[in-house]
Amino acid sequence: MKILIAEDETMTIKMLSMKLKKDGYEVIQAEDGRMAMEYLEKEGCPDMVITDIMMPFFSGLEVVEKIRKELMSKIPIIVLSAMGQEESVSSAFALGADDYITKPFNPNELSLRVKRLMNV
Amino acid sequence: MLLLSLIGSDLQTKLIIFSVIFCCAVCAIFFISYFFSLLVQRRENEIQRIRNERESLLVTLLFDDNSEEFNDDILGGFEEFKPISKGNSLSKKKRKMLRELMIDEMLTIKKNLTGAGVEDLYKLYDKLNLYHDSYRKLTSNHFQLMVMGIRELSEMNFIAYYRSVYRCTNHPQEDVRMEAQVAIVRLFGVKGLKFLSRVTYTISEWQQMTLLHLLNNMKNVKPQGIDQWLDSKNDSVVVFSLRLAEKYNCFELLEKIQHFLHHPNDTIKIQSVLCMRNIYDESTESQLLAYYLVVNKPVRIAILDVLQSLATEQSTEFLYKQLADDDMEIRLNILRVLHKLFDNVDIINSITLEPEKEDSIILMLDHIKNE
Repeated sequence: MKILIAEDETMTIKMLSMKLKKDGYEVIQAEDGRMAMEYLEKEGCPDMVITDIMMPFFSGLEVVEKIRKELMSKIPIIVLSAMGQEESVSSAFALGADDYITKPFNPNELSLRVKRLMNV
Repeated sequence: MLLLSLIGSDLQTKLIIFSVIFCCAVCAIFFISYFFSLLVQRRENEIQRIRNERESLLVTLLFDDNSEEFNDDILGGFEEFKPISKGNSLSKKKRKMLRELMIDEMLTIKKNLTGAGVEDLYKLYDKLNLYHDSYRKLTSNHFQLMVMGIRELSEMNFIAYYRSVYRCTNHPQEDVRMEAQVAIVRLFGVKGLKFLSRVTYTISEWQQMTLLHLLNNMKNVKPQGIDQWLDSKNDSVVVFSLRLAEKYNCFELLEKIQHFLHHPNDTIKIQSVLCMRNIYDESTESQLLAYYLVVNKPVRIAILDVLQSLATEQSTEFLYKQLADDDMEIRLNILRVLHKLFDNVDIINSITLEPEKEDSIILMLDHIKNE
């Protein structure tokens, strides 16, 4: 199963990729909003998207909006937010995100949430 | 030679020679700058390459199944983690720089990680003896390095050098002092507040907020010693202790807090009033009303702030009388209290003031309603 991770912090993206690969998922990395959008346009929706809210070029909210409104996809979306971004999280939910996780986060917790949303 | 030849030559020759010299100088400057920028670029690329390498190393070590014992085979490939010996090919400077980068990466990863991964990070910091590097910074003479050393030790939860960190909680240099205070609280939680007994320098408002924020994210255990800290000769410690008393609902300190209403320092007065939002008894409301008449504007505003949560109908008559105050800010705050007790219409009907003041009060009530 393919998971797209859109996150601009290299360390976080590496951590997430390592954890999810270990869990048996195929991971696609996008280091900013533009790369995520380009992937979605070219390849279509993967099986799940994990996106940071604050990213260069396009925000996580725009990524969620594209998936739900433009691509009309119902794939699970998890939003990564920093402390104090509660309003953005509510906006993400309003746009159709399924879950959120606050940084700093526990990779095991994220792994469990991914499994739950993927119905594994 | 060139200059000598210029002395006897005509103007045209002089101009040509000057132009040649000028062009040579410009070219030289250009090449030198280009050469240096190349060097800087090369160094930056090299650092970035090392950074990426260390990031990957850290992620592998932390998320590897055998992470509990950290894979020595992986670590063995990195010279800077081997003990210094004759066979070690790294220069002292490069070794130091590489270890610095590793600590930097660890601090970055810590920002985004919680749970077992953080514990592994602490273990790795210990295993690689990186605390030696942090301690070296802590004992340096440069305050910036000291701050970095303290931060690294506390972020990596390394307790062994806590005495050295604790000593810095009353350091004459403000940045060092602030970092050490935060570090001690980070390491020991409310027990770390022990430094309040010895600190002689002012704890700034910013620092007080930082410490309170840190405590918010910790277990809600009441600190021991607030009572003694309230007796401190350092006024900023008294203010901070009042904040702690309010945060941890220290009802047993009510009497002591009430005494501070008569303290000569206004900040302490205000803080003791604000403390009564959480710590009060049945006499507090009347006590504050009586006190209101003998204090200055900032303390009055603090009293009105507290009355927003404490006031009962007992205060009504007093508050309506105070609405005649010429100060608009005071009137606005009085109305905020009244708004908590009554409807706007009831307030307007009960006011007997000059028409001008009444108009402003109607406007203020509208404003409060939309707050």
